[in-house]
Parts: sequence; C-alpha cells; structure tokens
Amino acid sequence: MSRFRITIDSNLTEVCLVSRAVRGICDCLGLDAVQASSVELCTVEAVTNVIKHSYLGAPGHQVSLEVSIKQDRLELDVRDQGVTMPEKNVKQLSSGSSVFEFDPADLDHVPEGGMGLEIIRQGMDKASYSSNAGTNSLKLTKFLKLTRSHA
Amino acid sequence: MRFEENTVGDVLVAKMLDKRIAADVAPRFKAHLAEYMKLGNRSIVLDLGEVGFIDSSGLGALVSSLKSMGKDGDLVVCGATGAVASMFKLTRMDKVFRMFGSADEAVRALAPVGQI
Repeated sequence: MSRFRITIDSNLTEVCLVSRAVRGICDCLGLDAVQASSVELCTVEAVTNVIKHSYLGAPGHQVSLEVSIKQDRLELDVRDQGVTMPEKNVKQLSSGSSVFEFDPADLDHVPEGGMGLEIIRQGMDKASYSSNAGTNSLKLTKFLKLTRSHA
Repeated sequence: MRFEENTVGDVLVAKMLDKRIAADVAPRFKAHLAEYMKLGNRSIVLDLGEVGFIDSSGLGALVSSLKSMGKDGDLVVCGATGAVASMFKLTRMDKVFRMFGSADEAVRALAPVGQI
C-alpha cells in the first residue's frame, strides 16, 4: 500500500493543485479517462465543499487529502477542522438527493448549487462522512478494475 | 479569465480560452457573461471547446447566466467534449442548455435566415 498526504490552504485558488495531483494519480493507476475525470471532479467537489461550508469561505485553515492506494482500491480522505456537515447532507451522501430530478423546461427551478454531494455519490463507489474529536473526514473510494501487482 | 470573441450577424461567439471553470473563477465567469448581456448581446454562443474541466460551481454560474438571459434571448453551448460533456450529462444540464458540436452549427441555429 502507498499512502501520502496533500495539504492546502482553505483557498479556492488552491483547489487546482489537489485536482491535478489526483488526476495524475488516477492516470498512473491506469484508470481510463472517464473514471479519472470522475474521481478528479469528486475530489474537487469535496475540497470545495470544505472550503465553502466547513470553513465558510475563509482562508487560513488546512484542508488535507490523504491518498491511500491499495491493491484493489483508491481511497481519498478529505479532512478538515471546520464546521461539521449537517446531518441531512450526510444522509444525502448515502441515500441520494433529488437535485437532478428537475424539469428542464422549468428554468426557475433548475439548480444553481447544491449539486456537489450528489455528484460525489454518483461518481465514487463509496463515500462516507464522519466527525471525530474536531476533525471531519469525507472518505471517497474508487475500486480499481485492474489488480495492481506491486501494491 | 480569457475569451476570444467573434460576432456573426447578431450572434456573439465567445470562446473560453482557459482550461478550467471551477469555484475559484465561477464568480468572474458569471460576471463576464453578465457583461456580454449588459452590452446588448441577446444571442450568445459559449464555446467550451478548449475547456477540459468544469465543476458544479462553474456549471451553477452558467445556469445563473441562462436565467439572467431570460426567454427573449439565447445562451447556448458548443464544443463540449470529454469531462465537460459528461458533467452536463450527469447533472442533466444537457437537457437545459441547447448544445451544439461546433460554433458554426450553433450560429446557424441562432442567426435569422439570410443573416449569415
């Protein structure tokens, strides 16, 4: 197993660093372009959510991404020490939400936000949230189709 | 935020030259589109051919711009491929926006007959 950590400041301009790093990792692991893009997007959504909602958009806090590469899976653990995710959002992460069930012809009700968690739920194989001793953790898992011989 | 702009008749084709539309640039992206509308553009083709990544904040800014345009104007998208096209599909925004393969195709759809 390989493990490493990327830490950025809670500044939206820094999210690109995490995004590109995760994309590179996915490419190295042999994920196809569709899967790699999906994992990159989910990571960006998770980190952006932390900055916007856990840290309320304020820079100067740490957002960590712990990457674990196992034989059959890639795990991405997004951690922060900000405001804990509301229970209803945690529930949406496991049971889904109706955010994309809008009527396309009814433009007024097409969502402009609140899409991130549903994107994560649909894009990853597993997503779980926990909070312990002041640290929040959103763990994203992608199973690797190809078994890695050197993991 | 860099755009390349071309006008064909009454249609403004705005090609985004940056590779990413994410939360850090979403407010500026939205402001840029609002400026086009403020200048009187009622038919806008947004060319995303050079964009390789868009997140939900970027997409939200685009939806907001479409709402601002209202029913008496057009804001359409062209050139979306790969991860960008997938994002529109995943969020069902491909049902909300009129999407075209190329800018020429989009312009032909928007411009009145005889104008191009």
